[in-house]
Amino acid sequence: MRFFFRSKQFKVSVIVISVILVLALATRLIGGMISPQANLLGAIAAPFQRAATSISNFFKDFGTKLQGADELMLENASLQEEVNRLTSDLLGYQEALEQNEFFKEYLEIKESNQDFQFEPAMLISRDSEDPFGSFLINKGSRNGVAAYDPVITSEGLVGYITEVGLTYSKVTTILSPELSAGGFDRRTQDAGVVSGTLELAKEKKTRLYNLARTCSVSVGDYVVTSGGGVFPEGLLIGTVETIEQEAYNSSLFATIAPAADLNDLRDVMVITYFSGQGTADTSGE
Amino acid sequence: MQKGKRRNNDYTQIIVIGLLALLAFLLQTTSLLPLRIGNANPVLLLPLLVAVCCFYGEWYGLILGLILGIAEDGVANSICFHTILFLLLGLICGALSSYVLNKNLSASVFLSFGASLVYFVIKWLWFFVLKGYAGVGVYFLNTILPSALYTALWIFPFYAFFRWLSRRRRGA
Repeated sequence: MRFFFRSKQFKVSVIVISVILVLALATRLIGGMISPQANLLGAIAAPFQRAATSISNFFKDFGTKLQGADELMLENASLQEEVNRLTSDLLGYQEALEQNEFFKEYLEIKESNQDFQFEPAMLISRDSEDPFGSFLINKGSRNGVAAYDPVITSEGLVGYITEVGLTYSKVTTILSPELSAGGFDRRTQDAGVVSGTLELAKEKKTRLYNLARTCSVSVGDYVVTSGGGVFPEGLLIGTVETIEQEAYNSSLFATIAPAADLNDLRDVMVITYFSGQGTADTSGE
Repeated sequence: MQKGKRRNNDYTQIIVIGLLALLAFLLQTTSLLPLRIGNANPVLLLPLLVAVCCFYGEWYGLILGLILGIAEDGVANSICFHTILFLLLGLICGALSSYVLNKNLSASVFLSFGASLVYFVIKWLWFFVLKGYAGVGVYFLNTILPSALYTALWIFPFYAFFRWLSRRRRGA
């Protein structure tokens, strides 16, 4: 075993590994970037991850479609001849139709916020060990995505971009304690800070804390972002489920059920630009 | 001729290990197959690394640990945490397998459970305890421990596969 540690190959390996680690540390110190070696491996793995996720989504959709199988079978019989003839045109049409449906859902957000610039993206993999549900999307710096860009669905806020590679990026969700976003109750205008906890993340919930004892937040109220920095104003975060007192001080906090379905994310939208975009501190307290 | 044949075998082994690592990575990071049982999520790359260490030694363990660690860092929100941990686990498991333990199923299971516990406990300490999150004790019992045990159990299929491969190679 001593010869192993004294061998030339081991010494060369140590040098190579040290260079890789220095590169990774330097990239992290610069901030917001994925290390070059992870970028390279990720660029190789990302197409496979996308294919695997697409296969998985196909089987999930298949199960849903089986529920309407009887009706579909009758319709299918009459359309079978036409389908044979129009197969190639139909494939192109379906792809355009899905994209149209996808973008239609975001049209309302775009109409309310003319300054937003969007980049559509697809979830390609999740960090299975992360209790806060972070994931990777298939868009990176070459698509105009940058660190701290907000990520949304048509239902509401999902999170923000934490690291950007060339062809993929990491997203931290609103369940994470790493995220601290200003939020307020749209009905009562009571303001607080949105950030997750380990216990709430298990239930796929987050919380709005630092609420004054005199606030009039109620169950069922909508919570939106207050703007300034990472997130634009008015993005729907979720609805209030419970209101409780903090354990260590006299302020209140509200448990929030996110508007976006974080369990079943497939397609998301990255807001690559909005007026007033900055890089506020997103570290949790 | 023998040397050329041995070299071809080495390249074949590397390709097989690479493809298996890619498959394990895809199964772990996508929803291709539902592997989750309750709160327990397996880290398939870890028993794969242990199995490779048991059959191929510390060099393969070192290199594969480095590559798998970089891949994990690419998915998780960590600065070389997985790179260093996988590298060290690969080296240690490979060295233990080569110089201390017998190359059999018991040793592999022992290494798998050991590596899995070390990995999950260090990860729990680094990402949750040191950050001061509330509820870390409950999280350890509900998620970390079951995930560690579930991960370690995956050594059986990986060991069986590499044992079959090894016998095939010897037979050829």
